[in-house]
Amino acid sequence: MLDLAREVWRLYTVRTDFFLSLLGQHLYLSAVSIAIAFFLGGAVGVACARNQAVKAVSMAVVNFLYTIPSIAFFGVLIAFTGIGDTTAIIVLSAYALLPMVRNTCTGISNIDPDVMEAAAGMGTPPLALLWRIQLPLALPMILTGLRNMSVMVVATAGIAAFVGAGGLGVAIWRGITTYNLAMAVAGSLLIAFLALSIDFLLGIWEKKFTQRWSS
Amino acid sequence: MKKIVTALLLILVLALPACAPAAAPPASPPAAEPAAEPAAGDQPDRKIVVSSKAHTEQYLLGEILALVIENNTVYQVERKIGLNPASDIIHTALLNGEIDLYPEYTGTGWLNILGQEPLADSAVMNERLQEEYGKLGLWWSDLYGFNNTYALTMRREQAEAEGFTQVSDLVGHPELIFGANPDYMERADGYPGLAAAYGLNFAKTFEVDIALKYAALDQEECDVINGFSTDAQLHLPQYAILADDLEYFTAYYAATVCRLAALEEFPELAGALALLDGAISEDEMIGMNYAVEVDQRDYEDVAREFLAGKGLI
Repeated sequence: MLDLAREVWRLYTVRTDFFLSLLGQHLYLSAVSIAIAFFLGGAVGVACARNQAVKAVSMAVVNFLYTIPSIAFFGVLIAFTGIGDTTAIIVLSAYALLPMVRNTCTGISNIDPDVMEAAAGMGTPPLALLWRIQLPLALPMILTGLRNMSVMVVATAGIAAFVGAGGLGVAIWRGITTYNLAMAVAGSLLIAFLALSIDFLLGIWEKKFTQRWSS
Repeated sequence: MKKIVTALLLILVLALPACAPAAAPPASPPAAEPAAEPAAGDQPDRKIVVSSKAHTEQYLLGEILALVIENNTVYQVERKIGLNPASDIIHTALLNGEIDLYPEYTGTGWLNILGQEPLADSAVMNERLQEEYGKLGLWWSDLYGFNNTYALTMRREQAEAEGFTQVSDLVGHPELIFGANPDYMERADGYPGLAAAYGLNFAKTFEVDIALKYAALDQEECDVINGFSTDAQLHLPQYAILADDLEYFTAYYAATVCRLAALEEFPELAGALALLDGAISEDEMIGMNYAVEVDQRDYEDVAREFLAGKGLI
């Protein structure tokens, strides 16, 4: 065990550039996927909260996407979008849609109808209703979705290596397939570290918003 | 409203710094090839993309290909080494022109990728392979020399206790559990064909990733696995190989598969690839696999040393 820890540390010190470039690729893939899922999922979530039919169809679609095994997803997509970043980002964003859509929709649907009625009664136009009442009130829920989804994306991005998109998965797969345990552990630890850091940072933001609202 | 804007900003903050390192790799040093080689004339402005699948031997062969090209031509190489081991993924990438070449095994090309019936005569198979690949705009190099075919493997202790030395000894032992990688359970010359040819009737099979087969064997999750004849582990004393007494297994000679278009685009490429014709024996391949998997050395170093020793770089 101690030997393993020492070997992992040796890898970090000897091959710093290797791991830093993988970390950079991993961050890039995750950040782009998170951004796409955040905006797309948020928009779909808003639509779901307004219309039951849209909600039924959208939830069915994002649920379906979420259940496709990643290997199958990659296998099919490769024929269309090829190997590399595009395929990885499509798959990662697709998985991330579910928590985003669900939380946005629930957040908005759970707003007290009296609040909405009062705001509408004061003559608030529909768009302002969304921007100034619904989204701010649903924000804690939306941020929770963002936080869960981000951690998930960072963790899942490990499989991007299989389609040539790079990221820390490169180290993990290389470790597993060449029986080099230290290499696999070194990659996994960095992913865990990245996921925890993002969770921690987003947690701080989340707390800030919820506190401001309750005070 | 402010809160939404800040939330959006947060996303951008997350996304922006990350864009920088990702944009960096394609921008390689621009002044790499000075005018030192006027003979090279029209040097293409893109790199040759070398790929391989994700297992030890393929990492090594991918690196060997990259090094041979880098050191024997004027071209630059981009490595996309370690793709998903499913052959169809890398083959699709090749057909799409996203990669230019990768190391492949004749049996895999014939049975898995082309989906043909097994052919006992490997010379005939290689000839037809070249023909069929030609129709796809692809080309097989000459063989590297080694044959990485299947080798049914057991724990030595158990094999010796039960007196198993060849595959036909397993007939009538349904209590044994057969372990293999998932695609072996499916492929034409995989488990179904093997079981039919020898009349094997194992009650249970166990599917496991290629890299985890020996671990599964060690932990007695299964009793027989489909080892590969160049696996480093087969040199360890705790394993026993069963002889293929009916000569059932197809030949899996390794060679380079390359896009014909790339050969035209890079005129010096074919010459560099020919340096590997017959250059790697079975023992040499096992030795390299052993250096990586058992001695835990980096495959880049092992590949470089091998080529330097042969005078190929």
